[in-house]
Amino acid sequence: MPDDMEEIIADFVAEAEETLDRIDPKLVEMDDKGFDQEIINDIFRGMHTIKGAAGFLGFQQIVDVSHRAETILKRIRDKEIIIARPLIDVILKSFDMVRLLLKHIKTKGNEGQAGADMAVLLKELEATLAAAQPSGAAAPAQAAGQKDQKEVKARPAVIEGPSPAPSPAPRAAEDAGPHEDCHPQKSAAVVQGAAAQADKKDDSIQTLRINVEKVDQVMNLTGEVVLIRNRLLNLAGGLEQKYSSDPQVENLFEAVSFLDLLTSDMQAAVMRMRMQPLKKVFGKFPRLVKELSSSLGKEVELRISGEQTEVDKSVIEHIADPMVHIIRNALDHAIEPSAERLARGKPAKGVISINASQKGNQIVIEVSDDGKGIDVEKVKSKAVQKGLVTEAEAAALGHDAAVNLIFMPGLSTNDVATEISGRGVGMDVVKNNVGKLNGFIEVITKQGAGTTFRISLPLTLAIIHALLVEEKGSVYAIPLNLVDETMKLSGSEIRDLMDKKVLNIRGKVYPYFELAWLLEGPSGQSMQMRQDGAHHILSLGDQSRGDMSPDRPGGPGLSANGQEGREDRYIIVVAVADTRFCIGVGRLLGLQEVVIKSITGSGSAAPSILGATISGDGRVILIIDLGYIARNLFDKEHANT
Amino acid sequence: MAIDTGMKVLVVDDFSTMRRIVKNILKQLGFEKIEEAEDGMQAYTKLTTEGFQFVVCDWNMPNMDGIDLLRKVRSNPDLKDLPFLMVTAEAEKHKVIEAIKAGVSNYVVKPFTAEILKEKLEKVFEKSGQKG
Repeated sequence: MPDDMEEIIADFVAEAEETLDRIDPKLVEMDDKGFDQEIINDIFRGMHTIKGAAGFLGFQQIVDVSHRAETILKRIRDKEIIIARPLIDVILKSFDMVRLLLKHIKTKGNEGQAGADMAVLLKELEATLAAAQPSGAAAPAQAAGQKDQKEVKARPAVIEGPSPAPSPAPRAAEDAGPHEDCHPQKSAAVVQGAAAQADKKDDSIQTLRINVEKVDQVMNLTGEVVLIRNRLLNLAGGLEQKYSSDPQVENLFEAVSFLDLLTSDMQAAVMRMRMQPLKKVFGKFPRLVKELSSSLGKEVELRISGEQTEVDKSVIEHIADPMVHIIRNALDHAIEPSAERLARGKPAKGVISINASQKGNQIVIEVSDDGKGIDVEKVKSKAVQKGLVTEAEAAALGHDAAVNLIFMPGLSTNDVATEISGRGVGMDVVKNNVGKLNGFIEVITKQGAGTTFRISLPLTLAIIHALLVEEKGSVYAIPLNLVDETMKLSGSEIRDLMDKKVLNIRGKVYPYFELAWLLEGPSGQSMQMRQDGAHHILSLGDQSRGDMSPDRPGGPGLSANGQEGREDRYIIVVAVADTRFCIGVGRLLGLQEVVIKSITGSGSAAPSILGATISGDGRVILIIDLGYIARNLFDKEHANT
Repeated sequence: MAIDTGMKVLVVDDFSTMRRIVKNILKQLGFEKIEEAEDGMQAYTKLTTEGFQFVVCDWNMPNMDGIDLLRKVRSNPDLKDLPFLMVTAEAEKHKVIEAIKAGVSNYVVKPFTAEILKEKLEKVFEKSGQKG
């Protein structure tokens, strides 16, 4: 966007000027000839379009003026008010103001400050509209309007008096009222004062400090509304199929569809309320790096970018510790002392870069250093020494797998535990903390050149898009952001490769697992039992929910495919960080936006379960923690190799 | 599930700057095959002859406005399932129900960011994916 931005702005200025030049004479024409539907439509559309584009480009003053002018034009267009000279005048003035602002943009690159003139014009626009004559208004109303005008004319005299009365005068000015006949220049001083005051007031209400609990309450309620919306959609859908010819049912369906769209908007808006820039976290790193590097006698430069990236409040709260740990490690172990760096042909000063960005539904935070990189052989031997893996296992590990050993509890390659990063406590805790935020961490390292830790986090923690699947009669939700694709499985594609099931998809081989197998906890207790437990706990609050499920065994959004052959299975290709694998499930039921409810109580969930949600038809659905499963698979693979 | 950014998109708006802005946002989201139409009339001709997988359409336009285009699209058997996103101004929000009646896939209030458009696209294609 930034590359094309200048060009777009230039285009906007040119096109907006053209539009104004075109509709300006039309307005004058209408002043002579009277109301004309075609002409007013055209003028309205012009103003409306300028406003719309200005909004995109952040030209707020143009938006302010054109919005008010547009409102007047709309009411004339809809024949709510009668077109009259004062209205035309004030709209022409608005055109001029927009032209002025466009000129500022052209010459200065921004709107500049139209200041007092702007405040006067905005007031005038509002006042003129307020004083406009309603179409079809009876004579008495007209008389009242004229009386108002007289009052207004009298007003400046009162205010300009030597010592303005403290109470009524400023109020009168602020109310402005209809003053279509008075020249702005004459009353400018008076109105300006009031307008300035009003501006100040506006500024203060731009932001509100709200207790987080209140926002969370709205968030939770929104979550509940989403659940009800899902149920309503389901019910209305059912009714529509049954009574498709009934206009009342049709209306109900439309209203629910609208509710559907609005709820999504509401969710997004509430979610944004909880978002804060990462600057809040990154802000403390310069000092940390400065203090640590001087205590270690190392020269380090910290580069931070993307600190404006917004993340959920809970991420802000929990990401600092893992990041501090990574930064400390980088300073302590990765960045070499200046002499050593120079000897290796590196600049004397080490660099630690922190970068944040949003990639789709993910927030990606990277911490990179240009230090010595992770010594994979050293990590391996340390792991063997600590009894975490056998020598044979270590030898069989590839580069990435070996690097990932650093996330195992109890491993530290640092021979002398320093005060800075402590002894061995570390990367496993970092990984767990990131995991708690439903995120995952990757390491990219090159010996001698440096290391990058990449943390990927979901944008929001409360609501996820999920793929609903059925396995052995139970419905599960799989976070959609980690799903690469889905397809039908035709038995022959699964092959056995070294005691493992693999699937060949378009020439690439992926590990294959049955969902039921993945959900089996280490204790061997099947998830089926746990799900029943969760169902029991969650349905306590609403007995009716339990009754909802049996009549629609297919669940929401049942696809036609699902009903055909029972023996058919489906594959979900999952991508967690750089780990890709396939999960086999019984049926794909459709997509749904689900609100994550944590499962609490005696039957608390297995680690492979992120939480639960309630489906449109009232069923409790367990949400699968793919991040956990991926990590777990990885660990299992170690144990097996 | 990522949206197929290889699809052909038609951006309909009478104001060329707006078309550019919308195009730019679509490009940010990875779309490459983006074409433009100046009003409903031109858009309808393009839709019937050139084949598009997605339409982003402004409401207010001369000749044929967005809602009339939508109705025309939905009454054409070839286009009745075409994902159709309506761009509305804040003040037009009450008209959304009119658009839903006419079969709109979703709507977006301007000004919008790439993120917001992406959310809307996900909703639109989630739905059309469910149908198929």
